[in-house]
Amino acid sequence: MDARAPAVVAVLVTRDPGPWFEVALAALAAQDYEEMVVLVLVSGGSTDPTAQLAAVLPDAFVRRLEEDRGFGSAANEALGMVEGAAFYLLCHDDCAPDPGALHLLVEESYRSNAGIVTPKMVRWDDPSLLLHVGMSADKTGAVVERVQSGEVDHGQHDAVRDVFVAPGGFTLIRADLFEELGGFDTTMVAMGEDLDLSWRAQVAGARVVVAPDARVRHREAVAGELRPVADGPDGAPAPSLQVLERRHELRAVLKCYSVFHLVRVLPQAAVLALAEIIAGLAARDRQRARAVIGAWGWNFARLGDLRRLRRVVKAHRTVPDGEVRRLQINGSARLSTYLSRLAHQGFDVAHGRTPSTVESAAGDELEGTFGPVLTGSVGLAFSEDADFDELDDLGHRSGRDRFGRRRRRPALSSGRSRLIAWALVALVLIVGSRDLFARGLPLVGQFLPLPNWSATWSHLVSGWQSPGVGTTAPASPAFGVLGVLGTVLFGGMGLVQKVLVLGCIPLGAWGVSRFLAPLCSPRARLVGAVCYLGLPLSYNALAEGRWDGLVAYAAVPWILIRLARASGLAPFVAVPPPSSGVRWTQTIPGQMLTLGVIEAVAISFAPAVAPVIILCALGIVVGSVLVGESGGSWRAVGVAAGATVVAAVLCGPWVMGTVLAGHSALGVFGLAGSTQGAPSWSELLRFAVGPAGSSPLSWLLLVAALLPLLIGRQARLAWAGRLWTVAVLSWVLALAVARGWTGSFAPSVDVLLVPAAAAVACGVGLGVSAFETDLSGYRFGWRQLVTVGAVTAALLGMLPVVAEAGDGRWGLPATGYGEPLSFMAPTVAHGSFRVLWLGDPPTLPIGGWSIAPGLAYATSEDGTPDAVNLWSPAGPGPASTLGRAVELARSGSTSHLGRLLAPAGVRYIAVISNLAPVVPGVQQPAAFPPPADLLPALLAQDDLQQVPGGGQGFTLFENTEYVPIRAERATGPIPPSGSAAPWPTPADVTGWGPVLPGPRGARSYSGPATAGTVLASDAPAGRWHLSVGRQPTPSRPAFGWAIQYNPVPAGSAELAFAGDPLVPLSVLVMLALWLVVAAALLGRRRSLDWWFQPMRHRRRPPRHAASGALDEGSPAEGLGGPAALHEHSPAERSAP
Amino acid sequence: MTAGHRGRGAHGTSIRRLPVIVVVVLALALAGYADHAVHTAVPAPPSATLAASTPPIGAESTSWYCTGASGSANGIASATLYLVNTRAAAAQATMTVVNDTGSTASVPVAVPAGAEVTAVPGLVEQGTWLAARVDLEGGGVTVSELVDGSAGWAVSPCATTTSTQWYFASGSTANGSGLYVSLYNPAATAAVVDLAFSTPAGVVEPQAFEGLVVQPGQLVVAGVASYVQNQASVSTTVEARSGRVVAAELQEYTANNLSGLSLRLGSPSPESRWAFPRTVDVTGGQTDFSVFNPAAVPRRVTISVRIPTGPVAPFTETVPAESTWILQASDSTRIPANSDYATTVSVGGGDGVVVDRTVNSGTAGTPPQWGAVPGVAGSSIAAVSRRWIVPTPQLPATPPVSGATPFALGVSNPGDVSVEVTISSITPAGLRRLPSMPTLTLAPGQFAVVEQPAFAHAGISALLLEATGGIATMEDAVPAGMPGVVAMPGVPEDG
Repeated sequence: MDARAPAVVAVLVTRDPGPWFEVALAALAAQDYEEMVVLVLVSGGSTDPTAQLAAVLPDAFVRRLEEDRGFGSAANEALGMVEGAAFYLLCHDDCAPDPGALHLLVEESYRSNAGIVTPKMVRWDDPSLLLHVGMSADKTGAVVERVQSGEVDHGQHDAVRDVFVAPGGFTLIRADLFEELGGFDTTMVAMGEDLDLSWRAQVAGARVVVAPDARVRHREAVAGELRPVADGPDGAPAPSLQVLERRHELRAVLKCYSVFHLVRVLPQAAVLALAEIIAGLAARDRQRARAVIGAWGWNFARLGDLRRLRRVVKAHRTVPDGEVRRLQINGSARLSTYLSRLAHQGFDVAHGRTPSTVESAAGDELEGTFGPVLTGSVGLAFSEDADFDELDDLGHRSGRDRFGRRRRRPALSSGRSRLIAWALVALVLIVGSRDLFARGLPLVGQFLPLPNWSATWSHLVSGWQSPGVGTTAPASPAFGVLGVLGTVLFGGMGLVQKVLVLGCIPLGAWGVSRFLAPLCSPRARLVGAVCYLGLPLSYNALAEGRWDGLVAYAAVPWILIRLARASGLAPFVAVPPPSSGVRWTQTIPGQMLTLGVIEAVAISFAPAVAPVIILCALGIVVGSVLVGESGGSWRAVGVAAGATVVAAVLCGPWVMGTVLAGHSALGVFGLAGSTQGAPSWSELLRFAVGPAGSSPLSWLLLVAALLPLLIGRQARLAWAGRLWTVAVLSWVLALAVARGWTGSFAPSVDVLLVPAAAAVACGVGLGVSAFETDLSGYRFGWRQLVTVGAVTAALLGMLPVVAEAGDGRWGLPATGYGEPLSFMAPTVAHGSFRVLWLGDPPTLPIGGWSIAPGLAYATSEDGTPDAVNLWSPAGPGPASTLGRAVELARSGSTSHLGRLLAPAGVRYIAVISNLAPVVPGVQQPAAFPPPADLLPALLAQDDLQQVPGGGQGFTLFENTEYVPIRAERATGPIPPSGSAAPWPTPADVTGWGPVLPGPRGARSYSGPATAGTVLASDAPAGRWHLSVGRQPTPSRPAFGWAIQYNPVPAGSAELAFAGDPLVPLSVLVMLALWLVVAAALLGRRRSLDWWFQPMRHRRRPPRHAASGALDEGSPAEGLGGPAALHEHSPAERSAP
Repeated sequence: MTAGHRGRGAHGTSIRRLPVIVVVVLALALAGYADHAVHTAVPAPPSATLAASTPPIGAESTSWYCTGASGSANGIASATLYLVNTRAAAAQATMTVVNDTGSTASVPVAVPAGAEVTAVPGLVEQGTWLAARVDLEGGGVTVSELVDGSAGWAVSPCATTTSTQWYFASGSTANGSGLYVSLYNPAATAAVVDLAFSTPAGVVEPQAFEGLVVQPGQLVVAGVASYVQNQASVSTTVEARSGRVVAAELQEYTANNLSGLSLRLGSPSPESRWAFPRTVDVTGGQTDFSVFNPAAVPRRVTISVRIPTGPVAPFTETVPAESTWILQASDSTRIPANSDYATTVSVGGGDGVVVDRTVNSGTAGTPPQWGAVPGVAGSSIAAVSRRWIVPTPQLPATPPVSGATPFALGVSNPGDVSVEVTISSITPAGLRRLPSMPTLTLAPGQFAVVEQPAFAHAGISALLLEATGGIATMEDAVPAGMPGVVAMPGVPEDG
């Protein structure tokens, strides 16, 4: 009987070894396993290690390979060189095993009947820290460590167990298995070859186990970038480790799964990859994005090779995938890690911009910089988590204590529970919005269809826009934002609209969460953000098509964050002294710029946000005075004012155009609505300004928000006071506007209420935080009872909104005005025309101008409006004649309003009385009746014919006297009027026919003209020129604002707009300014730091300040003492 | 200070709890109080639509709608339009006449500054029934209509508005009297109209008068007597399901050898206050006030009468829904015979009523012996301009009614404060105060009667009354069986 131990051939692959090599050789030589033969494969390289080998392992066999093709390729050489071996020990040259390691591995191989056995690997320089104790992987091949980085070895993993991956470096594999598998995949020069080998071994039926008693120190020269990666098999230079890792993971997936599982897993992997690419690009982590994209490209370029390898794997398969996958972890390892880091450690850590706290804690230089983060990990839990005893060796909680009792933990105290809560909230939002995802948004309120992306750009820079009867007032910068998004989304303007409309709701909730970050626990942040979602305000804005309300809903929490930081009130970051050398974004000008950009984007869509910012700043100041901690709060007002200036500069042309509109400029914030039917005080307090929120339960969230005022202490009390002050100012201003007490300053109530909503939501969050932190400081009494009541109130208060989710549209009517009015379209016979829209401002599906409180007017061209008409200029310009004409009709001073409107090409008058068409039994949208005298006045006109068949909710008239926008007649021109108000006479509007057809809103029209007179009802008259056969025709004004051309010879005519080149130039300058600011903010250019220092500090630009020693994510010097550091660091981590 | 009242800030500062709670609660309460005060304030009632009012001179254009007259084909009530130009410049008008078959014709009419001219629709278009619309550039022109026929003559202002509802308080189909409802649609939208009649026997809604389609520019006349037969009291409701019309009612009264004619422009809405500035019950005559409640609920109505010596005890009645209360004033002993008196009808709450006055001389004197006129509506009394125009029927040189002339002008103050009234004649040279007529000062409820001699100074000019408050004015004209048989209310000017 042969008592010898099985023969083991230690295959040691080396290339230009470092100083660790001799230690590794000595450790190998010191193995107490007698039947070991060492085969050293020198894989290329410039140095010859023979002398070192001879000194330490004189019996070793050495073979030199000409080229370095990586570890796997070199190790495969052993297959042709060795016979009779029972095991191969595949060794890196940077591993130093303990003397008994090989012995233990072989022993365990027999004991466990394992095909591959891997030891416990520890750090080379500090063996007390674990590197690997086997590894796992998810379904997509992403390798997951079983230990935390820097985890101390206390024997917590010293149990033999099956693992999915035997990490490379010191791997014992049965020789027959290695031969059957054909060795390593030679394409994998580094990173992933161990995953591939282990996976294939398991497919072939072999077990992969870890034997932790065997300990090996590993230098990880390649992973630690101490040694370059070998070139590829084709001689191509090796890419980065990340690239290699991603492509080899995917290769293993493509190779090792059976067809059934591949079909199931591959789409999931593709979706995850796409999400990772998007997240990477969003975070400017282009390397990651490139690595992911490259992995797919690289593998699909090798499909032929993969097919061959799959056949090999299939030939060896003895175990189904379902069994192999039992050792894989569930879900996506990368996604879980990303979300966990995002939730616990912030955006920068999640995207690898700054080291993870876990990683940092293990590092020397940053150790202790960050506070503890409980992630359930073993390493950190050991020192920081009192429940360490209940964690298994993977760091998972058992759910029971050491006595076997089920633990009762506070609700939402764990990351997983919060994740589940967020998932539930997201589910409610998705269910509540399901119809909106599936179908286009109806033409209701401000939800106008967007023009195509090129038209959007054109509208921005052309210098002429069609609202009213045409104007050269600059367009809103919102068209720039829409243009950018439309371009990014490949012209999918419907998608752009949905993203901008529906994205506002989660964005606002995220803002509330970020606002609460320095003040509250993650649980309180969650509650606050969910309460923000639970308030009916945003859903009412959605139901009524109030885009401005939604934009404000999204923007105001972020504005509050910036104002809070600007104030420097604890625990928000104080604005540091200039000498501190901090980032420019933290200086007061930097704060102004940052807030200004937010404000500029917001006011582009919702100009009423501008006064809201001032309101919020004033609220913070007044609240600070009330709570007795006002130091620095004034800076909020200063920064708000400065930000408004910045926003005005960024939106320069549009702001200038608005200011030049004179007294009507206030109308840009909103038009005064009817005070009849305006929301009552109680409705404003409950945010019940639409279909949602009418339930008495809506009061309860307000009640819950009172909690921090009653039991809060310190910063929680102070900020509760400030937020309640903001809320009160918001409510009072909304009441004043709703009652018409502010005259023509009438911002939308939906916008004005947003600060109150944010304050209430934050108040609830602060209440939870006060419950967690402050309540224990009181003796049992009414406060505890109040707390119970507040928690109950917060829960019940959100029920009405949850109930609203049932219809799938949040109450937004399914049918808008686009459907019943779709018949309004230009024809050859009738030519182009305008539609005059009349109604209470909230109902008008278009931006307009006020005639009187509760009555506004606007025009659209050739039918229903699109978004070009949404952000109308502040002043109507010549279109004011339309408003005056309507006033004449209302006062009984004319009986032929149609004739008065005819010069403007008004063919239809749509009087809107409901938010959307009433469809009996289907939808009953909110009613906003126009003034009672309007319809009778229009019905009494002898030239306005009510269009039959109009649905309820609107009344449509056709003007029997209308003149096409571009018209011609054979008779003479319109004689000049001698009166100040040049109303047309019957003869003026007689005999006109259409000419020069073209799309609406165009800048030039062409077509045949007959001899006579051509009338163009586009303002400004002086900018439109008619040429016939390239010859200009004489022109003269008509009706004081339009233009007529006479005599016009018969021929091919062209009417073209010749704008002022300064307008597009100024728009281009504005766009350039946006680009510069965006680049500065997104890139966080450090070079700007110097520019934002006061002049006296620029002379000594501190090198250390520019060296990146102080990042925005780290506590900065000059912020105060230790207490300040403690208070400020969370806020810094929450910096966007 | 306990921890419950103060928290400690991050830098050791004390956080005050009480001030912020107090301020928040106070602010919320004050805002709530202010909102409550606004909500509970009695909102101003919506201004009623005036059936006839003279647009201001600065108006862009004016349209008057005159309907109810017959054409030459039946001769019941031939029409003559009176156009009074109150402005200092000539006005150019276009009179468009349509008959009941839809035939239309137009003529221009020039109205010199400060002048009154006539136009005869029957000379423009022929037909059984006629309606005319007068379109003018600008405002300041008042148009009224005089109809004459074998039964007598009557005057009425033309309408300046269309409406979806029109109400007529009185009417009769008894003893062969003819009652005709004229529906004229001057707008561009077709109207569908229902007619309903309240009689002592109940509400009658003849099928023939349900869903009457009145096309744009069309005139439809409904002969009520054919369907609501032999009813001494017929109150009419015109309701348009869609579109808007102008409605007038022509009454051809024949009974007991007495005859009369009335042309009444309907009231576009019930009103809570009506006035008759001057009524006189001559011996043997009969004066009735018809109070029609078109609402579906009863209304409490009070008729106040003031004789020269002071008010008498008011007459009060609860008028059932959709029914008519007829107060026979001449039978009341509270009102002395042959004495002038002013009448005010008021309604407590609700939408109000519609009131007509019917006068019957009772003897076969100068025709017409019978006449009816709607009261002066509260909205007319409260005209913002405080100016009323009273046309004169004396034109032209050969007037349609021989000897037609104003007889007396009644002016009353139905309001609560004293008003001063000046009366001027409208002449080409401008307004000219009546030389014998000082400024009238009318105490609340008081009335005055300007007798015919004063008009002699005005010649054949129309009158303009300017007051410092709301007044009611109505002019009686002759020839007639007794004062009030032919009466023309003043037309207020728009603010």
